[in-house]
Amino acid sequence: MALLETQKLTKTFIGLKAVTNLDLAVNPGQFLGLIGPNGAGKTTAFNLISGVLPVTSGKIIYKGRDITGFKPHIVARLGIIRTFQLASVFPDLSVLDNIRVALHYKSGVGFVQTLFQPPTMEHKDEGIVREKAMKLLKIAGLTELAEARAGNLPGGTQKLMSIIIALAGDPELLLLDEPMSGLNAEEIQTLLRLIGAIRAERGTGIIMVEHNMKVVMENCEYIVVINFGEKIAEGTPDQIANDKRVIEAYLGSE
Amino acid sequence: MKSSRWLIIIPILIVLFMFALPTFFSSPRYINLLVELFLGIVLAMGVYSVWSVGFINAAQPIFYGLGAYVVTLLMIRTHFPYWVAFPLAGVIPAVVALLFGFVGLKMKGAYFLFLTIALNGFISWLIVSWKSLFGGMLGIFPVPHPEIRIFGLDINFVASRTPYYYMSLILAVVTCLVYFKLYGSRLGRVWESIGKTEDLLANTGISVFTQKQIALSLSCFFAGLAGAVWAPYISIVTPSEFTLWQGITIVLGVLVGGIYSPLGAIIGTVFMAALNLLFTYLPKGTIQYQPMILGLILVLVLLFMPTGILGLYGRIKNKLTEIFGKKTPSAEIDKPPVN
Repeated sequence: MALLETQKLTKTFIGLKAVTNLDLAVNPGQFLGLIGPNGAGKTTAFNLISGVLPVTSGKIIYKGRDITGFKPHIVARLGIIRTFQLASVFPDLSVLDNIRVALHYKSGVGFVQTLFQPPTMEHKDEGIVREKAMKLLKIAGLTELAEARAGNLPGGTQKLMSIIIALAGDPELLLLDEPMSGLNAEEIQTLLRLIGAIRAERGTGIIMVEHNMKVVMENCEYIVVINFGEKIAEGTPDQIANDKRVIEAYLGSE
Repeated sequence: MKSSRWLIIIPILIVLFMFALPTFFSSPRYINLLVELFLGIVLAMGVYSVWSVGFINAAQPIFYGLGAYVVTLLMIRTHFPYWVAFPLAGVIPAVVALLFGFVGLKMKGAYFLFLTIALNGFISWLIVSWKSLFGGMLGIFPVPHPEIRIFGLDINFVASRTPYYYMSLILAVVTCLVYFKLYGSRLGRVWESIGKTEDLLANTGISVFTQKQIALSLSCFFAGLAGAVWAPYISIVTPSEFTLWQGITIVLGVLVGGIYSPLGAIIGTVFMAALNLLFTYLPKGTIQYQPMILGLILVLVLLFMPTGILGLYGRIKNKLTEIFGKKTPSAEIDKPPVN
């Protein structure tokens, strides 16, 4: 069974069809690339799946359950976590606090516990969260920057952090929105290694929207191409590279 | 760290001093100013908290006023003892805030501010027009004094103002403890992130709207309790006590103090109270210039210290350490203001 399936997913803004009848399917552990020219509707598709935008028509099925119309925080709790093109970290918090905040919901400590739990419980809870956070920072090689203010870090490091923030929610499906943009070659390799590790260790399914064709072609197992909101092709990287419609969409027809 | 020890010792010393104060100092005028200051701190803490989740509430005095009316009406109409009416005076404004939040907290920041102004107008109108219940413009007089007996000891609220002084002091201390506890915790980091990075926060599974509701209701709960201390203290409740101008003054105080820490709310409120005290020494006939002076202060603050008095302290400290060569990360202290 597919981890996530969208059926005839459609989003219409006034006078504009952003996404039309989009069928997507991701299996657990699969690395799916979602590509298309600018304005093709890739980010809109992410916004629909993660519940940020209401769906015009169509269905989103996650683990056999219809989650169409669920609020973003509910979708996240179910295990679908995304990253954003912009504003992917909490800029005013330290790197460590970023991860602590990301782990807050999972810690199960709410407002009442925060105020009234005895200090021993509090130390225990905070200890667990810190340990988890430091583990995640270690995975990304950010341990030494734990106390730095996140907003002051270079773009590449922030991108890396945004992936760690997403990982803190224990995703079963990870939606990466242009994770490679603004990264240098070395950072891209770090990030790809991280993605590889996530898939190997947790069996997380990944959908990646990305403009860096080299990265997509070399790493994704399956690729879906959309243009003007419609799916124009899908298949393995080899099939996509030789697809006439895809070449037309990117380069224009002769 | 040495400085963190002082951060605990100094507040304890201040609170102990405040508790001891009435035993050797009983000028009614200054006791009165201190009661106003303590209750003002309770209100300012709430305004700070709601501001930290992205909203400016200019109607805080309305919730304060609601608390005052609730405690008064419960004592007069239903003959509830004060200690039963007192918690209800917190709960009812909190429920009103919750209902208001269902509309208001779905708005963006600026619209929320306008909505609080509208709420202020609406509740004021309701209180003035519903004469049979709220007593109209004249309000309700007299508000009965609490009758409290602890360990078989009657506390006399009639003969002396000191019990009210202690009540407002205790309320302020409890409020501060709650808010410092919250903002020292992980949940505090979550609240501070609301309003700037909401989508990212929702993406970690946190219901941002629920957190906003909690922040607003909590602030109005404490505001209501403050009102419940105030009403019997001055023994009259009238709508003219709870105005929009007062609400704006609280917001101004929080801004002047520095809006990235609850400590800023306290400093700002003390600053504004000190300013008000100074105004009383000005010659008669200058009262109409007070709003102008306040306005001037706001402009100067926004221009020269957007992070408030607390931020100014941080900047001076950084400058000093720069000169004397000790290294501290400046980013920690010199944060840009919310909104």
